[in-house]
Amino acid sequence: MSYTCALLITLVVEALLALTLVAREERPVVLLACLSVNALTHPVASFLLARGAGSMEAIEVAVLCAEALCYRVALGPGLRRALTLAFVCNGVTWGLSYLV
Amino acid sequence: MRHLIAILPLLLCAPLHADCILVGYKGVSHTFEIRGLGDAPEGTRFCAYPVYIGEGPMSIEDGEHFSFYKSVSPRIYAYQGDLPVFDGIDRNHGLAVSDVELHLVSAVPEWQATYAIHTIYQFQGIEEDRVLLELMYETHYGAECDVVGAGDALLSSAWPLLPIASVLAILGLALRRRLRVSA
Repeated sequence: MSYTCALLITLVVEALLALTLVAREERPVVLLACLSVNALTHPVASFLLARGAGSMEAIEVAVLCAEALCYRVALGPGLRRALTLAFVCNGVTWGLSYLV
Repeated sequence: MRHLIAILPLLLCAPLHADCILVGYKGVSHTFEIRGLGDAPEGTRFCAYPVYIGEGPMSIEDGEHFSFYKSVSPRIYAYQGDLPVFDGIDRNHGLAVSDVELHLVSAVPEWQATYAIHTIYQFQGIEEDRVLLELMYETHYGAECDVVGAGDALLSSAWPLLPIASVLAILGLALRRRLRVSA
């Protein structure tokens, strides 16, 4: 699978998941946050993986923490919401990466 | 057009199979790695052949970096037991073999910043007499575009812009939220 394809699948799946996890009035902001957060972490994680900077599991955990932090910064108070978004979205795409 | 420009160096590199490096080119080291070989059926081992002129096959381990002589294009063979002895021009040698041939880039135009290349293949499985490999990444060290996924030269050359734009967007969202709270 090409990198472009992997990035697009990640963006679409995580955006759809994020939209289902938040209230309707928050969706536009969460959508933008989700796309931004993934556009930040995905290339960096792919770069680290390609360089052999760590195992896939270690990089995924780092990505999860980074995304939770970014969600917290972008969306404001609510650490639980940031962690839920990061954990659920990444959990699903991580699982997908083994299937696709 | 950008794609054509991107593949031009590769086309120029293609005829470089002589021992010398042409004027205007510089030598680079090119290593290969095959991941996932540990997922093969128990007892299955792998080797590359041909790797050096006049020499036998070279054993390949999961995730191990390896290289070979630039004038040969080895394939990956699966075998059981001892390292096989290859003779003649039979392509399969009675073993499962990859369709993929590895091609080593030994030199690039001097204007390119690349000083080393590392190509990673993923082992997909063994199907009848075929070893299935898929290109994962090719990393050009020193080049402006460090990560070159298969067919992704355009995105890769612009990839540093993506995280930077994303950070700005996240900070923009945070700023917007703060302005709303203070208002």
